[in-house]
Amino acid sequence: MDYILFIATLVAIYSILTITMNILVGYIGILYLAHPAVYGVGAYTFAILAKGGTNYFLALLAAGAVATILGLIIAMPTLKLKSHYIGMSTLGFLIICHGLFINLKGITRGALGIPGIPRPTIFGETLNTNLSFFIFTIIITTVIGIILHRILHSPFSKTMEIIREDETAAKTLGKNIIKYKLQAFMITSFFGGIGGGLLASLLGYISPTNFNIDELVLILTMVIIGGMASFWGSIVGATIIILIPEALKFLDIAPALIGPLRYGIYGMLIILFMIYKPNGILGRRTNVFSK
Amino acid sequence: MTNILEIQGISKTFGGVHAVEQCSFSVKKNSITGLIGPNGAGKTTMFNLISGLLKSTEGSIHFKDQDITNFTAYKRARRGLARSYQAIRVFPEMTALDNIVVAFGNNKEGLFQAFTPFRRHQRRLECKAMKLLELVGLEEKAHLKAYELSYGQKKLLEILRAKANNAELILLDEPTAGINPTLIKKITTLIRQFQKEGHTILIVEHNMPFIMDLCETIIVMDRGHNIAEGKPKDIQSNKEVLEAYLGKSHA
Repeated sequence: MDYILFIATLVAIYSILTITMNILVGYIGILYLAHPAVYGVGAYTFAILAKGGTNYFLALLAAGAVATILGLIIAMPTLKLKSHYIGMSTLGFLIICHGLFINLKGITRGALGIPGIPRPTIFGETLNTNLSFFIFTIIITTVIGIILHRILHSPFSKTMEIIREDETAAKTLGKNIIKYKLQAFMITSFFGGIGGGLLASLLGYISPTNFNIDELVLILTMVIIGGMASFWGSIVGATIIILIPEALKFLDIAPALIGPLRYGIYGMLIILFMIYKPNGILGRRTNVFSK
Repeated sequence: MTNILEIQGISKTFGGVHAVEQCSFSVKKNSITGLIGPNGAGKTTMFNLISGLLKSTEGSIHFKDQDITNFTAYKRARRGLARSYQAIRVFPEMTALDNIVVAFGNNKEGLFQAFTPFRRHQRRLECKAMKLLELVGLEEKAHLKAYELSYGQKKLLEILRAKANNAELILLDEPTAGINPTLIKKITTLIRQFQKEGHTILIVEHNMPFIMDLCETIIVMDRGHNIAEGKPKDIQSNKEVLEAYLGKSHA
């Protein structure tokens, strides 16, 4: 039971991470591959502040704020670039940030990682059990989910989508493309940063391996399988991809094989979906990977 | 009548190619003006310069008595300049209705407006968009995705979208290219109606009967210059124009 609650909490947090990535990739059509760096910075900010005794919620907000700053830095070059070059530049940012996580030993403790990240304390009660933390996470992720759902079903999101469909036409309809792209980056990185903070709090320990290219593959698989430009699709995608390795544990497979097998399955899923269901489970047909 | 658009000595070079060179003309308010010329004359480049997708190398553009030469495309659009494209640019994954709704300038599309009540306003805009679609008999296709429409319907949709963008000056880039005669008639009535409602229309076109019938003034471009301007009748007998189209020996 405890284990199921842990997995459910993980699904809730990854849903937020997937939706936020989907805003940039699916909705506004920027091939953004730096998400683990952004929520990684959020996670580190949260871990350091919360361990230092900052109020839990302030630390979460700070995680969002610092992630937003990084998000805006990543946004700068993408405003001038097109299609796959954006993919290259954002991937570069991911690798740089991963390098910084490893090498800024004074702040991140390098490859050793940061242990003992606290769970929240509410009314003098520390939420140390998986049940209490699950309830806490569900409340926060639901609030974030409601905010994002509102944004993604408003005229604002329609304008994001026309920018993905045809940037030139959107421009000559009076849409300020740069403003929309920066705002999309801000939403993605702010809520992504908070998601990273929650992840750090759930795991209790973070190290640079939590925020490397493998994680990017994971989240990108969630986005693609769930469906581009789809709020609920992202949640479905996150759920499926989190549950696959858990299901594998119940099969009679050598533990050493499970790790590599996981990534094999992710890769296979991406290829199968790209061939047979490029829209994902609930998503929309988009031109993000082809333009 | 005053001029809504004034173009003075505008040039655009791509490397060594002078696509538009020292071109000057003006468009009268509430008129239907044609811009014609042989292939490669620089008409589409001119449209891109006017709508702000390209930056001119020299010269100035005045729109509604304001110098907009250094305005970016979206700012020009907000001043009241809309256009259609030669190669259709509708938003394929959105419904025909949404294609028009997103074009309305006041559709509460700001990030923070997402947290204000926007649904009633959206419904009002959808009604307005539906009325536009009814003008051309597309109301039954309103909820189809734009990529499902036929070529001609997409073209109509693009023209309506330009109109929805509360444009005072509408630039139409070859609205009749590849379209059957029935639809061309529809487009003609549509453009006439826009004029009655106070819009100004500038059309690039190769379809001579269409443009000679519709336009009050015609501007002729050749190799980046504007070589003639006048009433359709005068243009048809203008020697330079005939030379530009047919070559010297035939004229």
